[in-house]
Amino acid sequence: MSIITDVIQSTVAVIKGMRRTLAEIPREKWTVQYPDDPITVQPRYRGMHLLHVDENGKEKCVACYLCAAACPSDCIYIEAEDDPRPYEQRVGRDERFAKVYNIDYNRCIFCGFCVEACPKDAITHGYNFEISVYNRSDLLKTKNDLLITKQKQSKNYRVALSSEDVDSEYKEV
Amino acid sequence: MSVAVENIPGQFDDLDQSLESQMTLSMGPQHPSTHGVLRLELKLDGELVVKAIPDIGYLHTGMEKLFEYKKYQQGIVITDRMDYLNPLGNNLAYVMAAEKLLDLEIPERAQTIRVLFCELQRIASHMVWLGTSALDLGAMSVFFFCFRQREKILNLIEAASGGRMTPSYFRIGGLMMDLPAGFERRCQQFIEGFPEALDTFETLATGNTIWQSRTQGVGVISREEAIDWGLTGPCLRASNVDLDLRRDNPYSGYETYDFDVPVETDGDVWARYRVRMRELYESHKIIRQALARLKPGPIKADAPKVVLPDRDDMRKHMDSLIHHFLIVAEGFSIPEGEVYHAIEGSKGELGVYMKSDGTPKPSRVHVRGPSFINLQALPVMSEGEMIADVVAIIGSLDIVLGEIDR
Amino acid sequence: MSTELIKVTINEQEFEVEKGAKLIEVCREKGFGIPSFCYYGDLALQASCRMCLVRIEKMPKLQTSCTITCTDGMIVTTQSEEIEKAQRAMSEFLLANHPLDCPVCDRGGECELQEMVMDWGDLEERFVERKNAQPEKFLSPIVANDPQRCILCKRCTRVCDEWMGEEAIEAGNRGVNTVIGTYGGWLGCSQCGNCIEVCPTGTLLDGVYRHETRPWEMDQTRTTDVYSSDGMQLSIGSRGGEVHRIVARDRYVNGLNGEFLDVKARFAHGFINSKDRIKTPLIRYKKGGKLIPSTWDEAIHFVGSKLKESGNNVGVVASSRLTNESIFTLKRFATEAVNSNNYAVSDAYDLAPFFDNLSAPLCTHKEIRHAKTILLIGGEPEEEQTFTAKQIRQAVRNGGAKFIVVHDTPIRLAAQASQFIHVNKGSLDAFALAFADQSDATITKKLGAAQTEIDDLLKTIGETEGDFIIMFGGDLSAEAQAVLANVAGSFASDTRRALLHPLPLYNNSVGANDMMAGKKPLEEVLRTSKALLIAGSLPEDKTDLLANKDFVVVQELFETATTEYADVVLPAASFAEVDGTFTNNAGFVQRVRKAIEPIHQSKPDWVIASMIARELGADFGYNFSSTMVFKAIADSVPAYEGLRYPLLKDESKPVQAKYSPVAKRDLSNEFAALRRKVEALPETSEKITETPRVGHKLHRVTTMTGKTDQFHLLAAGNPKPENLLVSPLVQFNLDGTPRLVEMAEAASVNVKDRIDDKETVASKVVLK
Repeated sequence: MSIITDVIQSTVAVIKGMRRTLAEIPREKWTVQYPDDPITVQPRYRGMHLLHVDENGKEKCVACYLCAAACPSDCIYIEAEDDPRPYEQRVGRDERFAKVYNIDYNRCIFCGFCVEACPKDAITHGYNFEISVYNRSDLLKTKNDLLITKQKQSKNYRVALSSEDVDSEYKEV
Repeated sequence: MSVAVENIPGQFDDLDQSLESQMTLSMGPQHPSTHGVLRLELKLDGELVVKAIPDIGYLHTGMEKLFEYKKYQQGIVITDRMDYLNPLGNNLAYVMAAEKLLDLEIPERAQTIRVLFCELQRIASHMVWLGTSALDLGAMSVFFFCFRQREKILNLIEAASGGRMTPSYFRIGGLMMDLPAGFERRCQQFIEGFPEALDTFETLATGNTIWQSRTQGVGVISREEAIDWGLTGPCLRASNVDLDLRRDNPYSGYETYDFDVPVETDGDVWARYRVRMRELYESHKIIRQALARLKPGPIKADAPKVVLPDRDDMRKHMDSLIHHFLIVAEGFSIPEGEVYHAIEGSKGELGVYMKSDGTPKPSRVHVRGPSFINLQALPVMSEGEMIADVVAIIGSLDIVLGEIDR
Repeated sequence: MSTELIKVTINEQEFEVEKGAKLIEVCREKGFGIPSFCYYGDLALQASCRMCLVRIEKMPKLQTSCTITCTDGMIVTTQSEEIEKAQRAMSEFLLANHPLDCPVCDRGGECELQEMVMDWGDLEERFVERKNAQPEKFLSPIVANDPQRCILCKRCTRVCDEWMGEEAIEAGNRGVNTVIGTYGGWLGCSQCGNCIEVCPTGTLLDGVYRHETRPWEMDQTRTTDVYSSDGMQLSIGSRGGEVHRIVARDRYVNGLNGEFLDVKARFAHGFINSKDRIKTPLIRYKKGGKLIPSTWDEAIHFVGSKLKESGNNVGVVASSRLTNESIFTLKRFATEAVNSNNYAVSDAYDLAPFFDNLSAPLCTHKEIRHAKTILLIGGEPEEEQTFTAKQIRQAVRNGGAKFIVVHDTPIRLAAQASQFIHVNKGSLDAFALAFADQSDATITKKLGAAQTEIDDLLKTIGETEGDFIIMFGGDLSAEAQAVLANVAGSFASDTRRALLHPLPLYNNSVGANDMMAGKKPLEEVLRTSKALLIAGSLPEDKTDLLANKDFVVVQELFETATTEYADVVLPAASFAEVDGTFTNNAGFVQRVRKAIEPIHQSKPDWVIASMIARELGADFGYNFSSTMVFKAIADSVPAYEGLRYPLLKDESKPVQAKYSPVAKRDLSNEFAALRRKVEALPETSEKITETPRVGHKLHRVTTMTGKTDQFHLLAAGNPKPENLLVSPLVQFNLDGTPRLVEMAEAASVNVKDRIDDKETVASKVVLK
C-alpha cells in the first residue's frame, strides 16, 4: 500500500469521524451546568443520612444500635439514654433515645446497610451529596446535623420522578 | 558486548546491550494510559520494548484480610470496590459463593434481575474500556459517546440500588429490594437506544483506518500462550479459545438464555477489540430476553435465618422482628466448608473462594481476579513492540487496578 | 452419687451414663441440642416452658427431658417432626403476647428468647389479636420489670427462693393471668439482682444499666469482685473507657459463683467512672493549705524529698481492697525503700490469729454446698459474704445439711438453721471457751445458753459423716478466733473432715494478710511513724491519728476523710483499671484484669509505690509489669510458691494458695485472756431479739457504693414511689425525700403511650 493511499484513507476516516462528532452540535446538550442547574438523582439515591421524626417532632430513633451493628465501616457511634419524661416533653418518641448519634463521614461508604437495619424507619439516606469540607473533623456529623428538622437540603439536586426516562437528561432528538 | 556472548541465552541477549542503546523507562504509576496506578518498568532499545515488568500494589487495600473481619453480608460492600467497573459482577460472585455454601435456592425473579444487571454492568464496563482505550489511541469523541451510554446504565443501577459505582445491590439469598416502579420501561428505553450507539462506535473505531493500523498485528498472543498464562474472558477468546463460563458452566440461569460466544483467531489488540464489541451485541441480546421474562415474584430466598424478613412483617410480627434483629446484630453463620465459585465477569473468570468455619464471619475469602491474571501476559504481548503500542496493549487487556491490588 | 453406669439410647446411639443423671444434661453433653427456658442447673425443676420435649419409647406422650432421670435401657428420640412441631407451637405461644420491643429492650442481643426463636422459630404467627399491653414498671430502684415480656419460666422466683431465701419475687394469679410480681408491689429485698441475671428475656432488667448500650458494643473482661471476700468472678462490660455494667452470665464468665452476684458486686460500679475521681496528683505545700493539682513528676519528686527527710520513721499502710501486687509492693517499699518495719493493713479486723492457728484446711465454696454440718459463729454472711450465705442456704435446702448458728443476734440466716444457739450480747468469746471444752458455771451463765445446747451441738458434730465446716466472723476477739481455729482440727475423724472458713470483710483481706507478713497493728503504726504512705483510706475512726504527722502521702480514688490530712494525694487506679490478683476467703488466688485504661492520670498503686521507691533509690526490678510483681510474690510468699499468671488464667478452675495447717498447741494463754474478758462482761444481759433489717450492711452508702445513686435510696430505706412506671431516682431526692410531683404524671402518659403504640401496631395487623 502506497503512502498516498494511506493518507487518503486516514483522511477519509477522520472526516467520517468528524461528521459524526460535528453532527452533535445542533442537537440538544446532554450535560448539566452544575451547579447552576440542579443535577437529577434517583429516588433511591444514597446521600447524606437523615434522622427522622414522627408527626409531633419526636425523634424516631430508639438507639437500638442495629445500624451500628450493620455498618461495615463502623462509622456510627451512639450513646443511648433513658428519658422518663412524658411523651410531650421527651426528645424521642420512646423512653429510650439516642443522646449522641454521630456518623463519621470520613468512614461512611454510603452502602445503605444502616437504613436496611433500622427497625423503626428512623434513619434513611437523604439526597445531600455535597459534603466536602475544609477540615476533616467537620466530617463528623452529630445528631444536630443529621436530624431532618435541622439538616439543610441543598438546592443543587432534584429527585427524579419514577415515571421519568432512563436518565433524566435523556431527550429524544 | 561481553566476550562470551554466544553462551548467553537469547532472551538475555538484548538485556546485555550497553547503556548507549538501552534505557529504562518508568511508565506510571501516575500515567493516564495505565488505567489506574500501574507502574511499568520498560527496558527500551530506542522505541523498541525489550522488557516490560509490571509493578503493582499501589492500590493495595487488604481486602481479602478485611473480609475475615466482616460478617458475611458486610463483605458485599468490599466486593464493590474491587473491580469498580464491574461491581455487580463482583457482588454476584461473592453472594453466589456464600449461597453455594448455604445451599440456597434463589427465586426466579431474583435470578433474572441478577442476569439483567450483570449484563448491564458488562456493557457499562466495556463502555469504559472502549472509551479509555480509544482515548489512549487518540480518539477523543469515542470516549464521550461511551460515557454517555455508561451514564444511562449507571442511572438505571442508581434507580434500583441507590448507588452508582458501589451499588451493593445483591444480597446473600436475593436482592436488596425489588426493582423500582417503571424500571422495565426505562430499561427498555435504554436497550432500544443502544444499537444506535453501537453503530456510532463501529463508525468511529471499527471502520477507521487509523484505528485498524494501530491495533492490527499488535500485541499478539498465541492460543497456547494464552492458555499457559491463564488468560480468561475476552483476552482468551481473542486467541481462538472458545470458553465462556456463562455457557460452559452456567449459573443464575444463563443456560436458558440464547446468546453466542464471540471468538476471534488473531490474538492481537484488534481481535480483543472485536471480541468485546461483539460481546456488547450479545449482552444487549441477553438484556432484551431477561427483560421479557421478568415476572412478579419473590426476590429473596425462602431462608428466614439468612435473609432479612420483609419490612412489613418485621413491624408486625415478633418472630420476624427477632430474626431481623439477630441477623443484623450477629449475622448468620454458614456451615463449615469451603467453596470456589466463578462467574464470567466483564474481564474474565471472576472467582471467589470462600472458607467458612461455622461462625458469622468467613475464615478466608480469596478472589481470583481476572485483571490480575490477564496483566501477567502483558510482558509476553508487549516485548518486541514499539513503546506507543504498549499503551494500546494495556488498553486491550482491560485491567482495573482496584482488583489487581485488592 | 453412685457411679453405677446404665445404658441409654439417644437417637439410635447408645451411651453409658451415670445412674440418676438428668436426661436433658445427658443429651446436651452428648451433643444433642435441647432447647429450654425454665431448666436451670441446681435449681428446683419446673417443666413449665415445654421446650425440652423428647420422645421416650413406651411413654404415651412427649416428655419434658428436664424432669426425667435416666433409667437403664431408655430409648430416647430428641429430634423428629412431632417434637419439632410441639416446640414450634410452644414458641408461637410464647410470642403470642410478646411486645414488639426488641429495639428498646435492654436484653436485645443476649436474649435467650431471641436465640431460641432464631433456632426454633420461623413461625407462621397465627395470633393477630390485640396484645394484652402492660406498661414497663420499676420493682425497686435497681430492678425494672416488663411483665408483658415474661414467658413465666419462673427462674427468678426459684432463684430468689433457693439462692437468696428471700421469696421477694413470686408468681401471682393463675392461668393466663399469671404474673411475676412482688408483695406490695415493691421489692424490699437485698436487691441482689440475681433474678435479672437468670431472666431469659427482658422481663427483669438492670435499672442501673438502663438503656445504655448493647452487649455486642461492649468489651467483656473477666475479673474478680472488689467488694466481698468471696472472690466472685464477674464480667465487666466496658465501652470506650467507660464501665457500663457488671454481670456474671455464663456466656461471659464461668467462675466459682456461677451466675450469682450480690447487690454491690453487680450494681455498685458507678465509682469507676465517677466524676469525683481524683484526676491529677495533688500537693498541699503548706499544712492547712489547699490541695493543688500538680504533675506526676513534681509530686513524686516532692514525696521523695520529704520522705528522705523522715529517714526510717516512715510507716506504710495498705488497704485490704488493693491487689496482692500493690500490697506486696507497699511492703517492699517499707522494708527496702525506707528501711522501716512500720507497715500495717487497714483491715476491719486482723486475720493473723486465724491463719496462724489454722489447724484444718480452708474450705472452698463448693465444699460448703455439699457439706453435712456447718457451724457459724458470729458474723453475718448474708450481708457480708453473700455467696457463702447462698452456699449455706443451698446446702441446707438442696443438700440436707445441718446448719448451726451461734450468735447474739437472730440474723436472717438463722431462720435456716437446724439449731440456733442464741447467746447473750457480746458473749461469743464465752462460746469459744465452751466449745473448747473450758466451760464452767460462770461461762455458761455469761453465755446465756444452756449447757445442753452445747452438748446437742457437739452431738450433731459427732454424728456427722462427711464435711464439717466451722466459720466465724470478725466479731469474735482475736484470742477466740485463735482458739476456734486451733481446736477445729480435733473434730476431724476417719469419716469426717473438719474445714475452716474465715469471714473477712474485704475482697483481699486474706491476700493482705499473706502479703504483709510481719505486719504491725494499724494503730501502732499510725502512732509511731512520723511520715506515712497510705494506700487506700483508713477507717474513719482512725483518721484523727494523722493529725500531727510530718508528712502524709495518700493514694486514693476519691477525696475522703483521710485525704484531708494528706500532704500529697496521688490518684490511684480502681480494680477495673489494673492487672493483678485477689485472694478470697477460700484461699483462691484469682485474677483481676484491666477492663479499661486508668481514668484520668491515675496509676495502679504498685506503680505509684515503685515510682516513689525509685525516687528514693530503690528499684524493685518490676519493669512496670504486674507479671513481674506476681513472680516476686510467688518467689517470696510460701503459700503462693510456684504460681504464675498463666496458671490462674482459667476462672472456672481457681487455684488455691497452699496454707500449711499447724498442729494443736497449748492454748492456756488464750484461755486465760478469754476468761478475763468473759468475766468482765456485765452480770445481767438482755438478748437481742430483733432480726436486723435486710441490707443493713449491704446497702450502706460508702465512698465506693455512694457513687451509684441507687444506693442512696436503698440506704434511705428503699421508699416505694407513688408512680411505679418512672424510675424512683426521678421521684426521690438521694436522701429519700419525694421530689417534684409532676414527675408522677409521667406515669399515666407513659401507659397510654405504650398502649396506644400497641394498638396502632395491632390495628395494622390484617388477616391475610
